[in-house]
Amino acid sequence: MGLGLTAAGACCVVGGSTGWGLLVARQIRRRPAELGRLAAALEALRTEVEYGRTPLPAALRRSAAGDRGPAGALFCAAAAQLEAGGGASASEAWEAGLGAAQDRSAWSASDVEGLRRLGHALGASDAQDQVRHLRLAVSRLRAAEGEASAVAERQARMWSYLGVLAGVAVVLAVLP
Amino acid sequence: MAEGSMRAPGPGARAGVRPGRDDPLDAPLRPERPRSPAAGGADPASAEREVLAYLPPRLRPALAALLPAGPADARWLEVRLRAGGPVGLVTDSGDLWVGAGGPRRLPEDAEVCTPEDVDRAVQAVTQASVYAWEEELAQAFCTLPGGHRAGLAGRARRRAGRLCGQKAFTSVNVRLARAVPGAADGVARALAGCDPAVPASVLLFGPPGSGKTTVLRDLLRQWSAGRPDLGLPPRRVGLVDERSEVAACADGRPQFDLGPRTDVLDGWPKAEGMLALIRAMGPQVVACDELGGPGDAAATAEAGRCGVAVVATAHAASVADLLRRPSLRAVLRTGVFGLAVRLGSDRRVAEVAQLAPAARRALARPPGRPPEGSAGGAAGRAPAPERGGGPWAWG
Repeated sequence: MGLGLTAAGACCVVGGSTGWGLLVARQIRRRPAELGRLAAALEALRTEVEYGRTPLPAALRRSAAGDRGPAGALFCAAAAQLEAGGGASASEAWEAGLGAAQDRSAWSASDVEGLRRLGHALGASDAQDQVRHLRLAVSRLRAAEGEASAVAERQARMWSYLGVLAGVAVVLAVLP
Repeated sequence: MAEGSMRAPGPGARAGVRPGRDDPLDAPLRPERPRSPAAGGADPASAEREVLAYLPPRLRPALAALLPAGPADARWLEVRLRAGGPVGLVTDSGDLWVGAGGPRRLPEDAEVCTPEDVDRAVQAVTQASVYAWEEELAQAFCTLPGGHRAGLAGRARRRAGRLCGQKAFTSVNVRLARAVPGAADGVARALAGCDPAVPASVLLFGPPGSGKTTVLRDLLRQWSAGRPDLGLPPRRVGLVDERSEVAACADGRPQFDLGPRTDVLDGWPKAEGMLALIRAMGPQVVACDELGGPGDAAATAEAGRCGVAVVATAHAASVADLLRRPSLRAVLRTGVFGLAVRLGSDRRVAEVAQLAPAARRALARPPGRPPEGSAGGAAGRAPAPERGGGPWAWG
């Protein structure tokens, strides 16, 4: 085997694993920002419910106006489901929204679980109770956001190094 | 005066009004309605189609098969869903049951409505937002865009002993609202033939489903435009639309034609709304639906003192019933109403009672004192309605 080919292969392996490491790092850095945006959208929804008594389709669209991230996708997909006129319940619509947003988000499984729990209560009770559920969800998200941003920087750096190092390790291991 | 509308400020705006109604964002649920009555005649099933969007998808094909296709077909008046019961339809040519392949005579042959169907309808009517409809659910009805009224029956939800809504719904009844030009012709003729000395205030009454709101809507349109053929000059009309059923305002604009001189206060409580209209819009006629709440009598009396005619509807099967209801009795005792019109089935004028000045004086007497005249005890108990004599002159 020619030396050139070996070098090219080694470069590919190192480059690939570096890219993978950077991707994981980016995902880790995204999570706190996305959680923050989601909490802000839920805060807006709480205001719509508490002061405007706005029905969910309009309240969801207004709270997520301008958000192009997963929070916006969740809110808009849920609103669209409710507007379709099939008599969908809020929790069904919220579930559909989660399905649409989950793939493009950096939310962890526990984040999604918390959101799902909120979905079961959404729209189904009086304003006082809705506000209580929304406050609880927001405070959970804020806590998760704080925790995530504390670990994110450290972990992100670690993962980007790990990517490079893993690539080098693989190259060294397979070299004759 | 141009047609316009005002909305209640502050929390008053919530009463009976679909929240966020003037929000363009929830437009998809709201089919665009034709604004002119002429265009409304193009599709004989336009009101039915609007209502169909709120009914459970599973039952829609069976219901859609019963849509009126032409002016001769039966028009829907109500759609009735009961959990575990047959799907019912009330039309202007009688009741029928809805089957998978068409109308059914017997309830046993009809499509059965499941509890899930009822739930779907409730979710669609409330936009899956119970919190936005607490007051309406406590009153057991919501007004849909287009003025249709969805009655909802379920288990009471209480907070601190007070009724604050409903849950576990078992029945949904959607009553269709539609403009029927000419529905008020009989009342307009009665008004034209009225003694000019009698105030032109009209109380439309009848049992539920007799078309009071439809006749009121058309009467306002006719009065606002004027009926020169009957000698009725056009008047400035002010409407207090507490439940958004008469004008069915959406985006702040009445969806029904109410004539060129009509102003609408959408969602206002009746008594406050009547006084606000008199202060702000200078109407010659103020109108409201379903009179009989606390404070309505005082507002009616104030309108009478201002020289403004009042047109209102009330639930009552007969004049005697009208007088038996204390709140309506108080309204009549103001002496403002010169004409009481009872509506029979299918919006037909069943009787017209001119409340002659003597009758109004008798009603105005404090209870206990015998009035003069032959009806005997008009103030103490309900007089038996009689033709051509006593304080009630029947036309």
